[in-house]
This record gives sequence, C-alpha cells and structure tokens, in this order.
Amino acid sequence: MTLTPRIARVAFSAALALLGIAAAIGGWGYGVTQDNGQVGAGFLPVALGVIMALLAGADAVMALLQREERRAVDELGTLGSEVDAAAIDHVEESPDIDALGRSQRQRNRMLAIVGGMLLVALLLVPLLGLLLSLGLLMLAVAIAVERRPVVSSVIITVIAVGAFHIIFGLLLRVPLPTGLIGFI
Amino acid sequence: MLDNLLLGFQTALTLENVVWCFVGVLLGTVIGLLPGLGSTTGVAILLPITFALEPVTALIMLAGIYYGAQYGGTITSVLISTPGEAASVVTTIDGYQMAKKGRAGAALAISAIGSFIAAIISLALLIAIAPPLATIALEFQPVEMFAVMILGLVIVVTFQGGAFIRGALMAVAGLLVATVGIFPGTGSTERFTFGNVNLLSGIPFVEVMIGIFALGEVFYQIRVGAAEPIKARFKDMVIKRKDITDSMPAILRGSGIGFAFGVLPGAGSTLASFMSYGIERRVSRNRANFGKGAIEGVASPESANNAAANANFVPTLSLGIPGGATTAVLLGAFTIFGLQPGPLLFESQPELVWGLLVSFFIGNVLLLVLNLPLAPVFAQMLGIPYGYLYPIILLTSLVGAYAVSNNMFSVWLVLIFGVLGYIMKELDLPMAPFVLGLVLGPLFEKALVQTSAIGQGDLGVVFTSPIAVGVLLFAVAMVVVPKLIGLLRRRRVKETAGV
Repeated sequence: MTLTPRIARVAFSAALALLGIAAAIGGWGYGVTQDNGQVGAGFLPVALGVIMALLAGADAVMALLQREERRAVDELGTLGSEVDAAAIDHVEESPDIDALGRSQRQRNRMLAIVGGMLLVALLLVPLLGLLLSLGLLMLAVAIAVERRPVVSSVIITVIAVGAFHIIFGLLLRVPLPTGLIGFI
Repeated sequence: MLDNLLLGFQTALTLENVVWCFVGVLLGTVIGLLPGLGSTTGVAILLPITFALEPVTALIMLAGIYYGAQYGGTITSVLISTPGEAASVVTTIDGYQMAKKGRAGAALAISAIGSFIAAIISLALLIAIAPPLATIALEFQPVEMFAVMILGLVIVVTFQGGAFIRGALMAVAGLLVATVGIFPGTGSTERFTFGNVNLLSGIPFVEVMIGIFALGEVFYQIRVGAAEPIKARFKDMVIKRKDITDSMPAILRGSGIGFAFGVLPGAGSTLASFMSYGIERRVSRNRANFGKGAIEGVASPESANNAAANANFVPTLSLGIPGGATTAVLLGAFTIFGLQPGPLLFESQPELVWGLLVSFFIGNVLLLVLNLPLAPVFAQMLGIPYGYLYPIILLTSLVGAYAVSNNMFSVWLVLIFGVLGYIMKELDLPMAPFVLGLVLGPLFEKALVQTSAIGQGDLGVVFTSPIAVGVLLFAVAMVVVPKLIGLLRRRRVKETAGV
C-alpha cells in the first residue's frame, strides 16, 4: 500500500488521538484535584489529553472525508495562488526530478540514508567523541549522498570541525565528549 | 523616557555591542537568504555560541539575526522567486516580476528603504507602547495573565491561515508536551518523566526548537530536492526618486499594518505581510499593476514584515508572551541567561531592555548600509549548493544542542523533534501554535494553579475580573468574527450570483 498524504495525515492524527488518550489516563493517575480542591498535577494533562484526542479525531475524520480546507484568512488563500503563479518559472518539466536530476524515489532513499547515518553517528559518539562522529557524518553525507568532490568535502569538513572545536571546545569551554579514543 | 533612551544608547553603543550587533545583522541577512534556514532556525542554532557573552550583548546579537533575516529573505524572493523567510513569501509576487523586467535592483533597494523606515516607525511605537503596557501588566494578577495567555494561544491558532482544527491541535500538543516534568503546584509530583532525571525540569525548549526548525527543515529539503541554481540577474542598483515617492504611502501603510499585527501575541510577521499586500492592492493608486511588478507590491509587505518583527517585542518584553516563533526562541534565550521577560524586566533590568531596544535602531542603520550596496554580494551566496550547506547545519545543530546543557540527552532530543518537525512539514501542520503552546505551557499552568488557589479551587474566579473577562471576550471575538464575516461574504456572493 502506498503511503499517500491523506493516509499519512490520518495515521498521524490517529497517533495524536491515542497520545491524547494516554496522556489523559496518565494524568488521571496524578490526581485531577488536590486534597484542598485546587487544581492537581493531572488536571492539565487530562484536560489537554481529552481536547487533543477530540481535535485529532476530528482532523482524522476530516482527512478521511477529504473535505476541502477553508483558509481562516481568505487573503492568504487568494494570494497563495499568486505566489505559486509567480514561481511558475521554476517549476521543472517533470516535478518528480529535481535540479540535480534526482527522482523523488532517489531523494526518499537519500533521506533514509542520511537519517540512518545520523543515527549511526550518534551511536558512535561514546567511541569517537561528538565532533569526530559528526565530522565523519558530514564527510559521508557530502561524498556518499550528495556526490560532492572528495577533496573539497574533506577541506570543508576539516574547517568546520576545527572551527567548532575552537568555538565550543576552546573558547566556550564546553566539555565536548571525546569518546574512548579521547581525540577531540 | 529620555533617561531610559540615554541609558539604552550608553549600553548599545559600546564597541563590543556594536560589533556583535553587526555580526548579528550580517549573519541574519545571510541566514535569511539561504534556503532551508530562517530566523527561528538561525537564532536557535546560534544561541549556544552566545553563552560566553554578556546577556545584553548576546540578546543584541540574537535580535540582530532576527531582523537581519527579514532583509535577507527578500533577496531570494526578488531574484529567484523563492522566499528565504515565510514573511517574504508575498514579496515574490511583484518582486520577482520586477526582477524579470530588469528592475531587481530597484525592488531590493525599495525593500531595504521600506524596511528601514518601517523599522524606525515601529521602534518608536515599540518604545512608546511597551513600557506603559508593562506598567499596566504589573497590575495583572494570575487571573488576568491566565486570560492573556489564552488570548495569545487563540490568536496564533486563528491566524494560521490553515484549518482551525489543526492549529488548535498543534497548540494543545505543545501545551501537553510542556506538562512533562515536575508539577509546579506541589513541586514534587513528577509527570511523564518515566524515571529520567533529564525530564524533571521539563522538555528543554531550545533543543525542541533546534530539532523542529533546523533538523526538520534539513530532512524536508532533502526530500523536496535541489532547486535550480540561479545566477543573480542584478544589473542596476540605482533606484529613481519617483520610485521612492511612489512607494512612500505603501511603506507608511505597511508599517502601520505590520505594527498592528505584530503587536498581537502570536500573530507574527508573515500574516502582517499578507494583510498589508492585500490592503495595498485595494487602495493603491497603482493597483492595476499589482502582480505585474508594482514597486508598491514590494514596499508594502516588506515594510509590514519588518514593522511586525519589531512589534513582536511588545508582548515579548512587556508581557513575557512571545509574538511569534522567533521571539519564542528569544524568550528561551532570556530564561537561559537567567532573565524573566515580562513587566518586571523594565524595572529590574532597565539597562538590558533599553540597550536592546536602542540596538534595534543601530542594527537597522547597519542593515540599510549593508543591504543597499551589498545586496549583489549577498546574492552570490545563492550559488552555494545545499549539499554542502545541510551537513554544516546538521553539525551546528547537534553540537549546539549538546552545548545547551552539556548532555547527550539534548542531542537525542534534537533528533526526535527533528523527525517530528519533518512530519509536521510533510503534513503541512502549523508549527507556530506548537511552539507557542510549548513556551506558554509552564507559564499557563503556573497561572492556572495560582488562579485555582485564589478561587480556592473554583476557576470561575476568572470571571470576577473585568480585565480578564474583557480579554477572554476579545479572544472569543477573534474566533467568531472572522467566521461571521466569511459567512456573510459567502451569503452575499450567493445572493449576487442568484440575482
């Protein structure tokens, strides 16, 4: 099944509705009122949780019914189309292909790869340290994902990591984690 | 007032503050014009760099980024029809048409001049209004503050320009996230912390901002893909005297409209620019040329967004309620520096408040000097491939997040909220209500608890305060009146069609 924007919106709203219900239940456990009758720790979570569940439910239903959204400010709606019209010169012949010739599918894959690399880089922090891990991430993204020239990517990465080491590590004296190797 | 202004000039005109103000407006201009970066992102990711500075110097620099970005956002709107800032979206309509006719220079120049005039007008109004408002706000009890915060949330939801339900949903989500941590009413009950000590003081605000605005935007831009690299078609920087005289009424109207919208908590400069353009298109003598490259179509929204950016500081400084997303981040900066924005700030920190306000004058003069001759130079930055830019944004965001609390927890939080920000962008969910809900959440709950204590558990005590009732009625009107006007307009259209 393809994840259409409508399905994604319904799924997200449903998740928010469930989160609202969970918050309301959790809030109830904290006590809606205190012994003296005043607002308790659970008052706001319960109230907000219920409201969120109702609003998210309504949004999900609206998405399912695909009702046309009406703009709260009419001016924005009409001007929005003019903004789009003004930008018409930049619409590609095929909206699926970007200026670098990458298809939507390729870009989706790029996003997944960058997300994965980011996760790996953060997991490597205890080993390599923060700056080194993120520096490697920067280099990997520039070379492997964005296909930028190796030399310029290395130069930019070294300059960026060096600048951050000077600003945060030396000037601001932020104790950046250096990891097991204890380099920078 | 005069003494305060003198104090402000003494503070703002030190060499250190002028230099950092210059750095702020320069960075702001660059941030405003680069795709995928905006004033909110810029202030959020550069906030940790200011930790070594004095609070007033840091805030002068951060505020410089904010209003500098308003200038920078225009350059891309005019030259490549791609606004660097949301507040410059409407400028694309006539700005880009002017550029196509070889008048990009005039468009950028009138934008800089209009922004400068609007900034000076709005700053004069800001200086005139904020202190008396703060004095009035000093009389506000928790009941009134509770009502004012409800008004702020209602305004930000109402003015989103999207579906009301989704705006309200995001505001409630923000408020709910803000309930994580220790309950202020007892000072001991932990909520939704799941035993994690990092969450005891709540979800840290700056990390959320960095995640949503910086990482979320990077993820989104990767998926959207690279835009066509455009060379700036910039031939002529000369603006005719007639262009300025023709634009002056639009600039003045834009300044007024911008200030009026900017002063409302939650309304923001984007709405101000749209409203100003819409009104100018109806009242301008040159309205026939709107959409075809009318210089008034650039002057009006650009004046409005700059006036609104300054006016945003009225509720931020005098009430402690942010005017928009960027001032919400700045509010976070205040608290990091141990300052509590609000009515007391004018009394407790006059040097800081007046130094900051006066620095806006200095910053806008610097921006005019920078933008009139150097706009072509800034425009060259449009050639930087995003493939180089976003890895640097990732590095800046994550190292900056770590520096906020010297904790890897912050970095993971940025990643989590980055994913959330990406989803919000993909689903076109408004971020401003979420941000305002998150910022106002702790203040809102504190006011709620105090109101409950005053009423001995009865929240109906709110209705015993005439000010609170007036504010709440205004909030109701903000929701009901636009809907009624829309209903009446549609009915009239139907009747006309029927005839």
